[in-house]
Amino acid sequence: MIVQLLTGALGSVGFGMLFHIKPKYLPLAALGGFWGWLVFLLCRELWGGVFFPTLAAGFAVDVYAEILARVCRETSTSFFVTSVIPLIPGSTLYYCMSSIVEGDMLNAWRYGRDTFLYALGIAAGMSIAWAICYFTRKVHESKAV
Amino acid sequence: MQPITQYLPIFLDMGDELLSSGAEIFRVEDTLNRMGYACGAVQMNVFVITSSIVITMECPDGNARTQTKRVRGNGGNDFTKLEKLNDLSRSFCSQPCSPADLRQRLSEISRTRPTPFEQLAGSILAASSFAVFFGGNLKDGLFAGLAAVLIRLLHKFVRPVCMNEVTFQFVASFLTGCFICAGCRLFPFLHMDKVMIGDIMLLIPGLMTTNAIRDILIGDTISGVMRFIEAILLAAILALGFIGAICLFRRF
Repeated sequence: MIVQLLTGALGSVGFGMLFHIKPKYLPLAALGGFWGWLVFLLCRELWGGVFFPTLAAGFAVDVYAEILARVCRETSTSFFVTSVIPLIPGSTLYYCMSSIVEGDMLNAWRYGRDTFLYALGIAAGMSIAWAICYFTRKVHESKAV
Repeated sequence: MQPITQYLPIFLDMGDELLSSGAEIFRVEDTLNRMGYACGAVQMNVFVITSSIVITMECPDGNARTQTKRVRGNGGNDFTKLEKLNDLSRSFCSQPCSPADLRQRLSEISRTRPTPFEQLAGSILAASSFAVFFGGNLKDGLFAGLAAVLIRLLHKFVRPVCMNEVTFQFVASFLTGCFICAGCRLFPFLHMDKVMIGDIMLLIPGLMTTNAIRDILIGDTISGVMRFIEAILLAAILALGFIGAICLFRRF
């Protein structure tokens, strides 16, 4: 588990380099990858399943990215994308297709469904966080006026 | 005082650059709207989807002008460029500069590219870490890194001669799959599934899928659907490439 957290963080850094974020933000990308996977693991312990843990992790990562975006005065996209990388369902996609090769349709369907649920969970989590951030910003602005 | 419609082609190029550096649809629309109002337009109508940009600008003198741009590139990610574009739009909104000035600053930004070395190092690091992340050991990680070098090379030399992204995806995943299968045949102590997953992470359109669903959820439905179908296609082709390689190596 520790290994996963560390390699997840390293993977985030790798993608950060690939996506050309500024070198001074690479440690933040690592922290983001670590944080996202930590939330995912904790929630999976708590609730089980796939959808709700990824939803929570997507939410947590987007909040992290929004906070950093305010602090560093940069776009939240670059922090969000690099931090969310460990959650991307590469392994379920692989097992889905290896099941297809072996003719095991039951497992293929199960892994395929998980792959989709991961993607949906991340997107839904981030959309919820995004909506809340927008809302607080508007409330803030209307108070200022 | 120059007519403000001179800004229009520059805005279109700016939108193109934003899209190709990984900005979301709503961000592109928002940025172009703000910049338009900043330089004095009475009304800005910006419509952006992943493959085209339409801007209608109404000037204070009552004239209006519409211009469209077809966007061909399909969304890479370059966050240094994105930040620079963001800074440019922010400084333009607080203090508009002349069209020529804006054009020059934009073309300076569009020249920023990640160095090949950075990309190579990033790919190797990512593939190796994810091979270990999904349960491989250190040797699997190293071999996944080696395969990542192959992916990078394919990207550099094969991508330009491929018809489109889908063709390239097939070629890349098939050849990478063959490489990994051959490697695992030569060195039986490697875990083929872990190595493959590590390298799949580099090719999988996972971000694209997430972005597509996000776009749909927040209301940019057309872009979301377009991107979603593209992502599904790429994922299917990726699976096909790897399945092809596995089947081929199973025959002997």
